[in-house]
Amino acid sequence: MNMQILVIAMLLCITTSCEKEEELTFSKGDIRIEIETGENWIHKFPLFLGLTKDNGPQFAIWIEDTTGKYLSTVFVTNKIATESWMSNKGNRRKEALPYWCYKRGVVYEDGLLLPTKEKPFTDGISGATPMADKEIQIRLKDFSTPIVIKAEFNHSVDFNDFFPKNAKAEDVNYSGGDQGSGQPAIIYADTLYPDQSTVYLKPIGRSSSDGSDGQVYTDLDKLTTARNIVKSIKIEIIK
Amino acid sequence: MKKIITGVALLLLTTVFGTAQNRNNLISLNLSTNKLVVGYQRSFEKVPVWGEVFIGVSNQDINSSFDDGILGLKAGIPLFQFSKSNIYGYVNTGIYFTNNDYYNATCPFAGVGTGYKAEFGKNRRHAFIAEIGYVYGRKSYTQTYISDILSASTTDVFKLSPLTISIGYGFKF
Repeated sequence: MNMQILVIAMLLCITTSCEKEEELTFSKGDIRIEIETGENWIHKFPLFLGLTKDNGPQFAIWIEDTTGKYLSTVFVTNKIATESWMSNKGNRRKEALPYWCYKRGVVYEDGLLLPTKEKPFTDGISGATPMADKEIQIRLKDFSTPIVIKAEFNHSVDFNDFFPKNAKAEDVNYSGGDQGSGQPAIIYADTLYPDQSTVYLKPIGRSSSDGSDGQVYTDLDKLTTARNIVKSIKIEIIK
Repeated sequence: MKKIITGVALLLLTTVFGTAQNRNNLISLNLSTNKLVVGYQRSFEKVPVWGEVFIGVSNQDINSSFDDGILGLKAGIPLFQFSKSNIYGYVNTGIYFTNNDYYNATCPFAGVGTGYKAEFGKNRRHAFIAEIGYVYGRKSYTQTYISDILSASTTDVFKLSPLTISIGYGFKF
């Protein structure tokens, strides 16, 4: 009898695990953001003895008004949102998504603009980096005027000839040291008008390589693999 | 979730003290890289099978803290019996409770594995336990953020780490 109860309970648990996938439901006026991953979405992060781990990029998506005033974060990946970096040796990784950090403008106890373990980011959605395409739904409370949607993407240790591993802290191409960023974050943006149906965000520049400022640098020719982290970012207003 | 854990713990203790006169019972503490689990195991008398209820804390969701809950059942059968030890196979199932500020994904799971149990000490009441297994658990969930400016939603999937390796201590009574 005891064994029958055990078997029945186990079968019940297994059955409940076969449930359907959650899906977003869109209504008229909703904004759909579709991130299509590029060929360099997954990057090999070195561990030890030549072993590597497949790493997705850190990224943030947020909205501003047309004067450049930050309005709200929509999504940010959890490592920067909760300070849960691997092998960062105390480095808070200010070079990860500096443009988003400066736009958001929240200063933490150590003077940096990065969320901490104790005070993680909570003013938006945060989650693990998806390993495939990502869909996000936005419903604006007031969408009578245009908004600007921006996104910033970055890989760790994504070095190239312009942003090498051995760059020194005083060099202009320093990116956080041997566990740092390598190529700086790439920034996408476009303006979305209420009467539009679809826009694709365009690359507008790169962030500061060492995270020391919130400027947009337009020398995108210095980025190589970072330009293919994302294939496209489609913004669609549901009509 | 705290009520569920408390209830199961009380049930566990009641069961333990209610059957303490024979040696078909074992309580265990198992540790792996991402969970700490306490189990109560009881061997069936007519068949060479044992059943176990286990409860513990784990660390597999977004916040990197050992604050998730895990509750489940396990059944095992000896595969190879030696004088003071045995190698067994097991199946398990249960529920994983995430605990963070970002999403709620109560995740059913099921697994299979093998273990080694070596008894030692006076009257062989103590046991060393080592297990390796595979577990499948995934839960699709929706995250929503609402502010004065917008509401934003997305979907994601919570997955349990599939490989489990643990060591533990058991006490027979």
